Amino acid sequence: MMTFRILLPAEFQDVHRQIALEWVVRGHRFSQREWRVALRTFDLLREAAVFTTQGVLPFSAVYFRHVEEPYADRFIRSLLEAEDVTQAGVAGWAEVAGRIPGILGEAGLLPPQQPAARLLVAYCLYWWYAFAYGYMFEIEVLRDLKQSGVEFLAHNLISREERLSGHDLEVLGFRGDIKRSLAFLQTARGRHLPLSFYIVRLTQAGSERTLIVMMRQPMWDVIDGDTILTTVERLAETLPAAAHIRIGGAEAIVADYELWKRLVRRRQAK
Amino acid sequence: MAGKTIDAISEQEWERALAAHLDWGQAWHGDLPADVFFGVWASLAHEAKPLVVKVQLGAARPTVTVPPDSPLSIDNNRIVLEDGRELLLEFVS
Repeated sequence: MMTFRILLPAEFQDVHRQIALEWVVRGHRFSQREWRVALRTFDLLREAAVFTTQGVLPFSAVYFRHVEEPYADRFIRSLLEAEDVTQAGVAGWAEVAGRIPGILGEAGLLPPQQPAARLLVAYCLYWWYAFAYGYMFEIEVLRDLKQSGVEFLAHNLISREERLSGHDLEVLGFRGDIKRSLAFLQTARGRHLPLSFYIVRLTQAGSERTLIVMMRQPMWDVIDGDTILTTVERLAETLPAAAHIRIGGAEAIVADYELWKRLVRRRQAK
Repeated sequence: MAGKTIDAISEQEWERALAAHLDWGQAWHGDLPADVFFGVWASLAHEAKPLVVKVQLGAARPTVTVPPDSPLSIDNNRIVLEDGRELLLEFVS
């Protein structure tokens, strides 16, 4: 008889098993409350592991070995070579996402009598989605910055070591990241932004996409300095003017991406 | 599938769940509505607590400790961060 067990942290409860399934089915329609539970769920699954005759394999190691390592470089190269990053990226994401259950099954990590192993599938789908859509967005923004004449230093996306660096780019000597809104929430959990700035994409008024830049005060002081103190509820009315927001003990300067680029170019021209 | 857990559904339901994922994944690019984004960020920031490190002074050699549930650990008075990096406090007078 094959030895196979899914090892979950003690904190992992039915509410997490439910939200993992709900994320697979309709993560795109999650409410604020559901995202809070989902983020906690996938944090907890990072501590989960598969126990087999070959030993204990953390979920994160399974994801890396069977998904990211074999597919990441090819995926990123396809984005860098593509004229239409979104089209190439969505196709590349779907190709790998559709294969994930089969890949894990062939590796003996998805025995049919162990439905808890579906958590491993959900975990791999979640991080592959984050990886694929994260780099699609990053490459789109880097191309736009170049086209807009903003001077920046970016890490080399082809190199895994550089991909894992603590920041994506430097502008005016400040370190920053390019994050989809969901990815930002996976990294900036404290009261202070870990890096000097984040280029983030959100939706407003239903489905209209908006790019914003969230900054620490020192970067804003260098490029401008004026803000309007506002609340999160009124932020949408304040943009594209820059706003200083304080919420839940956290604070940041939030500026419209186009305004930020204009001010950075002005500073770089001096 | 509201209320159902991922390990308690039938194989057919699981197959349908995977198909739904491939469907919405192609249409949604991970951009949250502004109110959801800032609301989640605010609640995460509100819950965030500083990590505590205690330094016992007064002995010949100061000792560094962390609470048992801390994500940090101590190795030979060095503070080991979650990603494996080490933080060494040097006291000077």
